[in-house]
Amino acid sequence: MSSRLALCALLAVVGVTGQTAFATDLAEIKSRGTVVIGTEAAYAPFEYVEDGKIVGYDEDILNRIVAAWGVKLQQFDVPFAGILAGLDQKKFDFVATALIMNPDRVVKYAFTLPVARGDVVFAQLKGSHKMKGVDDLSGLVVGSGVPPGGPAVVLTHYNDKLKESGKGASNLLRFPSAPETFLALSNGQVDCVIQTDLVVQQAMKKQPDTFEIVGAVGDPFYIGWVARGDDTLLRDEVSAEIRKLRDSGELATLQEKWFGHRMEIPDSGYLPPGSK
Amino acid sequence: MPTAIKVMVDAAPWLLQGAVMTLETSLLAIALGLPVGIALAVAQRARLRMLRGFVSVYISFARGTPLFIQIMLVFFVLPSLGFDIPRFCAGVIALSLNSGAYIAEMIRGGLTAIPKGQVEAARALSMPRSLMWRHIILPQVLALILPPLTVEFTGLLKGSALLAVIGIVELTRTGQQMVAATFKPLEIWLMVGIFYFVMCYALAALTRYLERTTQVYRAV
Repeated sequence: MSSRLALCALLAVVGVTGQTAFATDLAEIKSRGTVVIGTEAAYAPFEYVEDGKIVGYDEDILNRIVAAWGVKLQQFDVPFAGILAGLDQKKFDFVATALIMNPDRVVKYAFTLPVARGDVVFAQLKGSHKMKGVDDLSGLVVGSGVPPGGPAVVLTHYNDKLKESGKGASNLLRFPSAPETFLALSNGQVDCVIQTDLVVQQAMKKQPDTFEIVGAVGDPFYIGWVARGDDTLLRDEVSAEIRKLRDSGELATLQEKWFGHRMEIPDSGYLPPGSK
Repeated sequence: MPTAIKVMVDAAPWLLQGAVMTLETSLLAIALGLPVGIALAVAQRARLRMLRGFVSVYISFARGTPLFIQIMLVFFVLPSLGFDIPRFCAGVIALSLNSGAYIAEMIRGGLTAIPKGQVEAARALSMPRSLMWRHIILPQVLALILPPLTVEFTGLLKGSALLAVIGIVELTRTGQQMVAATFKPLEIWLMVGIFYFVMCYALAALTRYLERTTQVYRAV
């Protein structure tokens, strides 16, 4: 009897949570009336949850696009480990979450026009003087997120290069997300951390007078959203909306709101050769 | 310190929402996993050799691969075979299929405690196998394995944290969301731990109550 009850409950829930859907272009999304989005809502200030709702810079952009399309938004918060797998398996139309355009990703996924531009930076406790400059990590314990997160991958390559001249870090410690990395920095478990400047600024806002940026590593990078590698048509349609927001100046307003400064979003040249 | 307590108290209502999702998935998975486990245990004793073979392969697989992989398989791989399952269902199914295998093994262990004479007596009376399982074996075995079942159920409740990977926002995922928003990992994770503890303690208390009320079946 209890199993029958459970089965009924299960079927009832199935009815409520609905179906999985995916589209390859805007026409399909419009005829369905709903766009299905995957987001990793744990990356302030890009996307995070406040008062039970997904908010952030990307979310503001997404809401404007969805309104322009005149469709309903069905959005799922999925941890990083499941988000690209979910896209591959057609659980979402596209992924609206801050993804750094790194060489491994651009060949597999179709990146939209960038929504942001940032630097990968090192940060340390304010006034700690442990890190003299970004080109010498010798004797330091460096904290970062887990690969394939953007800054974590940058750190691996960068440290390998420094090791050749004997200036590599003594230890790299990986943490599940940015807040844990900064907790480790406050605790003294790590001497410095590597993150994007946009996230470091968020940490500095949450804990004023605690951290300082030492310097940037390598070239600035672009952040965008992705569609499946084959869905370049849908990607172009999303990019077109981002371009409209940029040209109307709305994007700059949102950048001021969430990051406190404006970023230049180019029309081309942001993707390495060989990209989708 | 008061700020830490404030962070925890502020987080509680949102974590409670996540805890409700954890409870929904876990309790449904327990309710489905138990019959799956019983069916597997009975099938293990079936006369059909192929059925026994299937069960042993199934149990080895469920026990030998991480729950994380099994959840991914149910949600991501089954659709490519033509079974498209919503995430909530996929999560509950993955948990119950996994739990069923462990429960079947517990039942198999419990069966060794049933005196052979009882089965022989049932056969001598030409009692149908289904009746024998329902009225003689299962009531005794299930009462007997209540303590390990508690371990399994609390394990399942905590394992349900892995469902986040397919987009189910349960307690752990809610914790991650709050950590990301507040940059206060220590306080939030402590609060998440308290929520899990309370749920597991309640589950354990329930099974201890069942243990007392089923004392009558434990004559062996």
